[in-house]
Amino acid sequence: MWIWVWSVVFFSALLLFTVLSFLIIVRGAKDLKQLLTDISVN
Amino acid sequence: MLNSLSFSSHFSGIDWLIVFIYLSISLLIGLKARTYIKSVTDYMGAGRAVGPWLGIASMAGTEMGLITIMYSAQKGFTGGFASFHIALAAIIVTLFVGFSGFIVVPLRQLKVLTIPEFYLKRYGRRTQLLGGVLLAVGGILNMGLFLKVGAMFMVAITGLDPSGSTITWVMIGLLMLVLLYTMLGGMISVVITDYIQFVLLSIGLLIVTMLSLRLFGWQSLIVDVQTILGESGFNPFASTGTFGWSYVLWMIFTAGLVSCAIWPTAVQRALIIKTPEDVKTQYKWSAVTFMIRFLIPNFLGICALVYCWRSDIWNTVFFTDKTMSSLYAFPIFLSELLPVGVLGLVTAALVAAFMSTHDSYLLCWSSVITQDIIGPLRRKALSVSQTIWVTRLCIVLIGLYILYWGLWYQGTEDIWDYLAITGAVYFTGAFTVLVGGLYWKKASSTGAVMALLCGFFALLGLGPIQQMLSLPIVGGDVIGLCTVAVCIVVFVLGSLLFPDRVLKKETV
Repeated sequence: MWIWVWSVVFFSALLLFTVLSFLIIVRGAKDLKQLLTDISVN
Repeated sequence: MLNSLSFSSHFSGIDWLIVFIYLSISLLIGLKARTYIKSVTDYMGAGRAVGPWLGIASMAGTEMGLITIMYSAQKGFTGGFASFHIALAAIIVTLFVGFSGFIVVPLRQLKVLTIPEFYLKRYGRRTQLLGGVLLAVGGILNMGLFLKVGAMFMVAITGLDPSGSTITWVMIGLLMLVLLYTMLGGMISVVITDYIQFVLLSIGLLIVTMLSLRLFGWQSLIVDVQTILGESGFNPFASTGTFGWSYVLWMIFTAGLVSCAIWPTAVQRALIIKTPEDVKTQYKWSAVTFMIRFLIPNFLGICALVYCWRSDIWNTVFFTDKTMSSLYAFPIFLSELLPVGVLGLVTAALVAAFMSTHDSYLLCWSSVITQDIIGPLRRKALSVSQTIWVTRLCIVLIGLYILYWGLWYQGTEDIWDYLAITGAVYFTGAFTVLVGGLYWKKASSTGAVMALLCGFFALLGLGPIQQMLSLPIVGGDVIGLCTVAVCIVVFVLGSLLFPDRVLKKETV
């Protein structure tokens, strides 16, 4: 049973992380740009 | 044995160049970030203007440090697939915090910068001071081995000769780099490099995972782990294994709740987010990264286990003679698996991870000392420039301490277990005091002080302390869970027997 559980956990997590990393990289870049603008203005 | 062995790394001039370019870019960012600092909030809290996605990247960058990767790989090496339960605990509990806002949302609503600042608002100056001291002691003790583990990684992956004083010199070099960088830019540079580190590290980890899967194959790994560790390599509750029920419970508390909602460096990321609603978003998405920071290194540790088991030389070193720390297995595996160029990229990502964790931790603990220990003890408040300079001085002193501690401490427990126990000095009491202060109107300052002091019981879980006091050998997980129970009982009794005269308004 444990082999089955860990196989599902590992491959689902890998897939989720691949998608999420892409999202974080793209949207994080926008937030970073905004942060630098906000701090410069203030 | 270590002295007569040399690491057969593929590390080449191209790899060194990649690492050098990355470090130069980081230092330039540190210099550039100085121009943005106009206030203490800018220096310590990035102006409280960080958006949720940058917050997720920053939180992942901090919490997915080289030390995390090294100790999680060590857990995979010693515990096999059963170590995956730590990652599972992390995602389930972080998702719970993300959906409920437990602890972090009310804290953000109070607009505090550090946890002791909450103690001040809720319990008063005495609790703030004690909370600050315990936080600093537990936290600094906790990061005592970071530098040494980082140096061990660099020595093994680059193939430097590990004999003599190589580790010491690498520790000094890494420390100088981190100190220079952290002192320059404060939280703004920390957030920027956290982001860059996340980009490098996520790509690097995915490449290494794919290469490892291609090299061994999933089924082959399962068969080999079954041969080496038996059932305990899969079942975390197996009586023959290194874990068990109490360990799993301890992980739900430490790797789950404490890592995301109590540990100051993680909470600090919630406190610099623009709005309380964004904090929930940050935690829901961060749940995946909180799981991955354990899962992928656990997996790479399993690959290192199988790799060393199959190799004649490393089989003798790690399994027959047991003459080398299991911490070395992961960098050895990486250095012999990855081709030139990719090795440099992955090393740069891991050095980035090392720097990102160090700068966040150094800034966090020194902010606590400045704001919550030195500040309350002075009659006259520190000016902005004084606060920043005192914080910088604290950063240097903590750096010197971790150099000394890394050279001196000779414990034999796994690094993750050392971290959980030393951190418990702070978080066992802090968990009780935070939750009580936020959700229980009758919580009193006397109860809080008593609970915080009980956190010191956790030190009994360290091997050298048990030897020094001639105590029977009890697992750190059991001691940790007992400490949590004692803190809760003492806090409730203290609050009921010694109530505060006026209830504080900040109770949520």
